[in-house]
Amino acid sequence: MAKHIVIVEDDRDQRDNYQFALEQRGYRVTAYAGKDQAELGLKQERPDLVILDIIMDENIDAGFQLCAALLKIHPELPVLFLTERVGEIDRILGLRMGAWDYQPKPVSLDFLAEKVATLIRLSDIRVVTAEIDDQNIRVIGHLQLLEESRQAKWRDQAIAGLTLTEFRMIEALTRRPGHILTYDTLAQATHQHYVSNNTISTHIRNIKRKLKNIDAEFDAVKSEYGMGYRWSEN
Amino acid sequence: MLFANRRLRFRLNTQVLVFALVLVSIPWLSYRFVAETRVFMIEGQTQAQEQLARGIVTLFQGRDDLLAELPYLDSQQVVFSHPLTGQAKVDGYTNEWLDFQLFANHFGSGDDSEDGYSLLLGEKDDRIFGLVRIQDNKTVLRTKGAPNLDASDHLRLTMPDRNGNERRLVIVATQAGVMEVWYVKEDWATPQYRSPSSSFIIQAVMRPLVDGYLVEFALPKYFLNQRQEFGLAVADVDGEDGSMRHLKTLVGADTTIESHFNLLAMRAPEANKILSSLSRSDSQVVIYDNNLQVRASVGQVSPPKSEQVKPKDFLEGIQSWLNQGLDWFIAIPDYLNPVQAASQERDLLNRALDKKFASGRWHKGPAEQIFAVAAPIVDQEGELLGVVLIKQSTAQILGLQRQAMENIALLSLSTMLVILLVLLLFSWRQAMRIRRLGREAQQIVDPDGRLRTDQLYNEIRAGDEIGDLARSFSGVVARLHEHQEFMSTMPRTLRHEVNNPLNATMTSLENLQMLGVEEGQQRYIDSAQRGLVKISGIVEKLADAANLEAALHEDELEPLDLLHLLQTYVHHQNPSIRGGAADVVFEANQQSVFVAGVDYRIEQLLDKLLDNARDFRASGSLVKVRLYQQDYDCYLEVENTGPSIPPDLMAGMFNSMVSARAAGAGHAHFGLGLYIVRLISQFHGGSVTAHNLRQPEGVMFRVKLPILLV
Repeated sequence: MAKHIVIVEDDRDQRDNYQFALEQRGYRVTAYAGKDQAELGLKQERPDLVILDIIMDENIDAGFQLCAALLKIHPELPVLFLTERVGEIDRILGLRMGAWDYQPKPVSLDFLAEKVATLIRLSDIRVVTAEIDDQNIRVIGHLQLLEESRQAKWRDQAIAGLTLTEFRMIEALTRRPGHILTYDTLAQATHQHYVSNNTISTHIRNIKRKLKNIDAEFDAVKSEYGMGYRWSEN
Repeated sequence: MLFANRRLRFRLNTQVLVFALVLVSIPWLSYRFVAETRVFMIEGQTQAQEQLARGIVTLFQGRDDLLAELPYLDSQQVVFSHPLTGQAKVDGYTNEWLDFQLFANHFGSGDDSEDGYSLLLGEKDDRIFGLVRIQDNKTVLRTKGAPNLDASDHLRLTMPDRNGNERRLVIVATQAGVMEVWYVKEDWATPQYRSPSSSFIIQAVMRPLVDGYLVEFALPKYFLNQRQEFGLAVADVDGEDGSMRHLKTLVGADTTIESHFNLLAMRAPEANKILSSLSRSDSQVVIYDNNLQVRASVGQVSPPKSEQVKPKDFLEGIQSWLNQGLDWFIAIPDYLNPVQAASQERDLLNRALDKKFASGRWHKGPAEQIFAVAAPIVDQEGELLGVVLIKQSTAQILGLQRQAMENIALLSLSTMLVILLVLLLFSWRQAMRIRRLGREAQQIVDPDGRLRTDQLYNEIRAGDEIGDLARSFSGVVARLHEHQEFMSTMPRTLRHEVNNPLNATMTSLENLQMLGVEEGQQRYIDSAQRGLVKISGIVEKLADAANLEAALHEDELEPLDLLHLLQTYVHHQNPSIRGGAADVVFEANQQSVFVAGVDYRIEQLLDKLLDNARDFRASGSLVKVRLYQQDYDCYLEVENTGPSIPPDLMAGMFNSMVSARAAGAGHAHFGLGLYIVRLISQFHGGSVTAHNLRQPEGVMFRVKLPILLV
């Protein structure tokens, strides 16, 4: 049975494009143009995933308000913010509210589809409590990459809060350990349209921070100043 | 503009001070008023005096009996007594005689001869005063205890008493000062009594002069008989032992005094009685007969002066000082000495003797003016009987003027001081307020020219014009701040606004591609997507720069080996890695330099500086990256040869959206690179400066960072 995805987006063009792209990938999609309309519809049926814009019409926090209302009814509902509000504060606020991910615009539809798939897969795992060991796991030194759930472990501990972009960057870095990955290669790995060197460095900083939360001595991501980054546990 | 700069500038305090000086005109105007009043009063007084003179003349008109009542004898010489004013003292000094000097009676061979003497007689209260000035080239004093009284220079005085007996007195000096007065027998040499007369009754004082000596004496009026006869002789003894003795001069022509009683002419009682009703405190009326001898006199010219007291306290001290200032201010410097004044008076009398009405004024002292009127008194036939002279002092008017001046000066000074003080305080306060406002206005802008706040806090509640100014300025600041906020949030707003249509367009293209396009159409879809990615990049760059300050606060500073970072960075510019020609060289002493930093921010800084250097370098030249340490700082320099930075760009080149690149030249440039370099340098506790180089021409950017002290 096709997974049911709800899209709440006030811009008709984007809403239609998301709907079309996801339906083309086999999902059942219901799209709402506003907060009130969505709230009404979502009370009747629990979808498998909700994609929310934040600013809708004149209400600049409509997405946040809707998210809070939905999670009260369905606490385990995967919520993905897809928004033009790209500030760090907005990102933190959205995630703290219980959203599963936060994706700034513009986004490529392929990337969106992959993100949706990952989130639904994670949701399914949580629901059926499937054994992670059964998944396709790639091991690089102390690092384990769980390809199915797009999760990673360092020294057998799950890296908390790892985003899809960060997983993709770690995956790219560890494809050829010891070799330098240029900024351009890392940008391609994010599957985004435009990624600056600074954005990549910010992602790397976040990856290092999350790994150091597990292992204070973590030093496997090396900076190759002026060129890119390299994975090396030595 | 140049002219404007040369204009004199007066600060507020100076302006107030100049304005306050205008207040000086107040006492000056007051002074003018008082001076005019004085002139008016004196004029009035003069007229009153003339009227009085005419009145007196009318009273005496035809009353020849009043002036001719004295019982003259042909053989007697009349010596007139003068009314003494003020305090008459027997002290050997002539203060009280000054007004009468010209009326002195001269006896002997002549005024200038060795044998002459002059005599002035005066009266005051119940006493007769005499002043005898004797010319004598050798003054012989009496030896105390000598038996004879005629062995030294002496005065002989004889007066018939009311019983017809003759009283003989010898006044002789044993030394300068108080003289001895002896009653003598007929030989003028033998004392009648063993000791001299009491000095309480008859006083006499001798004072030596350059050409002789002076005797001042006083005796009671009752010594004189009714006819007021008296005789006076001066005996001059020149012999060293006193043996040669002769009477140098006697009153009268003979050498003996016995038969010569002269007449002491007192004032005419009837005339005096008439005049007494006209007596005034500040004026003197004198009636002269046609021989210019005083026949009647009432009043006195100068009222008694109050004694000078020393200032007791501070206020009186100030007043005393003020008085001296006033003396200087209102004093009339050209005043006449007593002799000149007497000459003026004599002149008036002479004119009156010619039957003319005469008046005149002269200054007697620094604060006293005398004005006098002399009018002839004639009988019915037109014969001159005498002269009336009225003298009056302006001392009272001048005193009043002085008092008024004192009051005005004190009041004006204190008022001026208070006003000046208030004005100075007021201007000081206003200047302080304006300065405070100016300081706040200066501090409201940070060194990079950005407003720190959106309003002023000083003076905006004040109700006056400064308050209006502060409020207006605060309004301008608020608007500028709003504009600044708009400019700083504009990139983010732009991103918000652009991202939605951009996302719609991009996703539409993706869906179109998914639906499948005909051959030949794909290239246009690719081209559109590339264009959209460029737009996305531009928006991202703008937003990143706008968010950089906030983003930097999320970065954590860590110990960072700057040498290693730079070596690695420059190494990765190597053509074997990047392709193309080697264009960057690194110069450093091989010592690690640690700073507290964020590596990818330093990398970002280097990206911007190298981009800049590459864009502006001379074709084919190298970009030099240099690192060195000096004291507690390290310096990272990026240098290229090429055109210098224009001076007008130098000041603001590290601000946002300032670029030297021509519009439309290659990639999109928003003048954000050096702004980012500045923000990152400042975030690391350092600074960045730009320097133009000569020989070869070029530009060098120097980033100064504090080293990490372990």
